Amino acid sequence: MATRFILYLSLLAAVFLFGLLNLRTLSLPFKILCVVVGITLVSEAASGFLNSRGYNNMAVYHLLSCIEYAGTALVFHGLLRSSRTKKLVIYSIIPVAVLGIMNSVFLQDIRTFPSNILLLSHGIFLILSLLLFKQMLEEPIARNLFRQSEFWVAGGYLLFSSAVFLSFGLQNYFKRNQLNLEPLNHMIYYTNILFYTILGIALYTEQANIRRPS
Amino acid sequence: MSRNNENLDVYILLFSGAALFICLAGFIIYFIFLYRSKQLKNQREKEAIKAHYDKELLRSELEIQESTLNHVSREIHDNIGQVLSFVKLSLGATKDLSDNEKQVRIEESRDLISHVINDLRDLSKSLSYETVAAKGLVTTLQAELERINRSGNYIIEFDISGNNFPLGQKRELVIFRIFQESMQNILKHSEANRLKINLDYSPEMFNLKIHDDGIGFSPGNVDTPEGSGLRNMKSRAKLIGATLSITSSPGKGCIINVNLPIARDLNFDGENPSGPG
Repeated sequence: MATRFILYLSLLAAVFLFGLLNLRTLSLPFKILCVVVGITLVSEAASGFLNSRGYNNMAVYHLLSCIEYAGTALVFHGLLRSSRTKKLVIYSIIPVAVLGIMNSVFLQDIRTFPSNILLLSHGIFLILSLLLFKQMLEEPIARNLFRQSEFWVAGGYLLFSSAVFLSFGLQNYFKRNQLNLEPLNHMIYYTNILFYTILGIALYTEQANIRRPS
Repeated sequence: MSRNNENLDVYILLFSGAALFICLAGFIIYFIFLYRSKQLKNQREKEAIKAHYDKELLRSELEIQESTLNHVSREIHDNIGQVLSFVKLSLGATKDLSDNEKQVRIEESRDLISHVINDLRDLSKSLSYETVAAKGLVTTLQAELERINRSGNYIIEFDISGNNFPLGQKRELVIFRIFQESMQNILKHSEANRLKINLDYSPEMFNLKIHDDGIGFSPGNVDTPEGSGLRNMKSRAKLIGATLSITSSPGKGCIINVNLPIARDLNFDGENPSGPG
């Protein structure tokens, strides 16, 4: 296994473990976030294991994309305060799951990377993170911005979802032109590492805020 | 040639990617500055509200003091001074009286002086800001109502429902001042005979209701210059997060209702509502 993959899994494990150890002190959306990180850890480990044994590991991503969407939607549902947006977020889980299944059956079978559903869900995350930024601007609190877990969640998802769009665009182009995918894979890994580090910071600031409210 | 074109495409894509990340970073930096300026604006607004609150509170304290001084001065002038003058005249006119008559006069004067001493004792307990702070809202209201009751001009009913709890010293002070101002209006203008005061302490809401059976007025008059006292009461209620409503019509008395939602974490006092209630 490549060092960067081990580094990535270690980071996921560290963030998940931190969340797990502080689960009692976290608010509900961050408890869900911790579970989402845990599920990502398990699926990434399973995917790495299958890959190392020479099996096709794409089925894992088909499953993960639907679970990740539901989990992340619940996180945003907990963080956003507008009741209309909350309803839309909750109601979006079922159609996205149905689209995910249809995508796996008709468009990108389970041996193919489910980029369609990932693009859709990250498009929604991008919008939700912008809505979270907007909400923060509308209701600013006295606490330092960098000590606000919502800022880290919104920032993390904004960066990661934008990066997903970019990397998928580049990946299709690289494959079509038979270019070396290694630099792109590096970029995807480091974006993932950056994203989960940011989520780790979000979990840390959340538990610190709950323990020492401003 | 074809290879060069491919390289160019990759460079364009990478450049677009870098531009996207720069835009995102720019967005985050812009957000941070915007948020900071909103925080500062909010802070300034909060400080202004706090300053206004402190100013209003101080005004309430001064008005309570002024009301107390008026009451003391009226008592000295109308009651104590008159009685003492009478005693002085009465004792001064004893020269030509027989011993028995002198004794009767002295006894009468002694009774009157005892009465004056009692009045002075009551005056020394006159209400002040400290009384509200030390004894709490309920006790202070009771004392004020007893004082009004002594005039014998009103039939007063005072009810408390629910278990009373402290609302915070500053809130209680403002509520007491609203009560005091309402009572002054009733005594001056209402021509009422019956007063009904009700305090309702429920876990979510505190309610003060002042009901009189006086001549009433048209609530539209609240917006006239004469209604400035009522407007003042409304703005004070708003200051502590309460709402004040006035229900009245000519000939049908008046009901003043003050509703204060109980949010224990939201405290203008900057302290827990730990003052006596």
